[in-house]
Amino acid sequence: MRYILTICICSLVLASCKKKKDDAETVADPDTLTVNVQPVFGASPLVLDQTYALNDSTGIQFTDIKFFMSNASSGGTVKKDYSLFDYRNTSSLLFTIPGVSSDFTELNALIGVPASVNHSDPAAFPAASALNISNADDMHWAWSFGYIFIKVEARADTIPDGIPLFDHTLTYHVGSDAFSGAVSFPDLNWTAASTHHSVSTLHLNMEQFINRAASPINIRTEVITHSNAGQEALTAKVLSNFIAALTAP
Amino acid sequence: MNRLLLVVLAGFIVFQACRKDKVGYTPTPYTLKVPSHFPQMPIPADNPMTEEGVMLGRRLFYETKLSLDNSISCASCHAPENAFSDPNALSAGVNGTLGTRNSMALVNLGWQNRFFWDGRVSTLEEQILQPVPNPVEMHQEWVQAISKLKADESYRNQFYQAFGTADFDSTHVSKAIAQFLRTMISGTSKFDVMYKHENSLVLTPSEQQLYSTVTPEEWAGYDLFKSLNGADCFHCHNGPLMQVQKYSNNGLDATFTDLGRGAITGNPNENGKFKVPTLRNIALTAPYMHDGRFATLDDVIEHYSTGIHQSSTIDPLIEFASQGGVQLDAEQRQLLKAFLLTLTDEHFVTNPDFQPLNP
Repeated sequence: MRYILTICICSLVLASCKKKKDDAETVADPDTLTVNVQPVFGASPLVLDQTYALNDSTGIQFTDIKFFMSNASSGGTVKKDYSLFDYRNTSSLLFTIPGVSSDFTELNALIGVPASVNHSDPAAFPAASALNISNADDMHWAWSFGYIFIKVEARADTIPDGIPLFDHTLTYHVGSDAFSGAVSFPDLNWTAASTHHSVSTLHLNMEQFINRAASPINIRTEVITHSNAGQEALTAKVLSNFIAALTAP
Repeated sequence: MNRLLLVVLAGFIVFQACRKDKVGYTPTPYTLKVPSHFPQMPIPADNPMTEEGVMLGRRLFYETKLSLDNSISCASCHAPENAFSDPNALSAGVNGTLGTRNSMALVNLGWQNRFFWDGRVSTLEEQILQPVPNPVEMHQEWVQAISKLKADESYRNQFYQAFGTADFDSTHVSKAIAQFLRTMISGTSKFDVMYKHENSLVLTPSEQQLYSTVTPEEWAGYDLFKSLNGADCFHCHNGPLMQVQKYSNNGLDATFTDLGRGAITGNPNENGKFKVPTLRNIALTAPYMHDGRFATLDDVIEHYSTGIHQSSTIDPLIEFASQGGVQLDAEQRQLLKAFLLTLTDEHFVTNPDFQPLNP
């Protein structure tokens, strides 16, 4: 009898020191919202490095599309302070936040970075912030000029002779405090990706970015801006065309 | 009665064995010395920095037992006297077997998110696992390397102190070396005070003193470095790390004998692209480029001035490619070189904490 008692005690001790199963299994997943941006060319999703034909038979290959969005808000409440879109490295993701779609019915934001933080030490932002230099990476000019708000890079074949020669480079880097711009989408459409996850996808039409009727970019002559003095006209055009190309379908 | 005692004793032993919080080793957290103008270094949750791990990693970095014939260590191709790079264009492995690429300088690795010229691994721990079994490097199976290390009691003790086990394997070796490499931070060059000044960051008294030694030629070279109509270097060599995290075809060849990133991804649009390296300590890390083709900084400047080759994947940021390069004149080249020399960090290259334990 004493042996049985001893074995029982040992069993109890062993059972008590076994790690408890994670109680999280019984907790429901939190509700999350994802805002994506899908670059398109015309009606089709845009693929980087793929050749697209412009109206004049010019061929164009986009190699990089990046931009900052700041203070994404709905109903006057900021939902996401800073986010970086990087089509090559993070695909169509703009940001994911906790929340439910009924609280995020519209999207008002700044394309760029507010002047109040644009010239801060980029190493001082929290590690998870899009503005931390580890995340901003090549979207920051290192001499206090601030962040690159929009980066569109491309190669073009400007001679329609049937010989693919993409030796004409396009570099559109928009930044400095004067060249940020507001976007507003009053009706966001959300799609349920799962029970607790909804997704809203904006479109960025790169054909419209180049060929916007009101102010087309001439890729033969308007090939480069880094938002320096003397480049204001093209910088402003790139900014306005980019904003016009961004829509909430 | 004896059997009763035996059962109680057995239960006690089992109870002790399952108490994981009393493992008997007490690693000391290691405090990284990160410069104030650098971002926080991301440390993997499964490899926290400890004094014991760093010390072990430092010993392993210089350990020739990791190679088949005990002839080479990590430091053989990342020599401290060459700012942890290799002065040879292509590094020689066991029996003098040559690789196909130049060994990259080891500096500020804790902030990298891709490793090797082709970026084929994404963590420092993974990177460290590759050279040991590589036939053109250390050419030894990990099982054999571990066996050699385990034969040494002092290693068994050090691994126990660092990781709580004497039954270590390759993952423990890579973790220890990774911890050591993360301590190798360069952020005290003349360039650093120029960077801090430009970004309105407070300089310490010693930095003020260093700042006062920056010459007009070095400032002029920095201006050229940043200028779109000058050397136009900043697109790829930017920020406190003096690099961006990307792959680029910088116009070395019209056709590619080494596909670089393209060989990893299978994407022809990435053929001829290689990881953008840092320019820190660049004056000490010749030769240059992924294949070590340029022996001097002058050769590199000449390449970007007049030697650019067009190709299907050339980086659009090589903005004067159609003219063969940025066309720097002799004076501009000297100024640019003067700036590049400000990236030499004497404190880093002579730091005794990075040298062999028993030289």
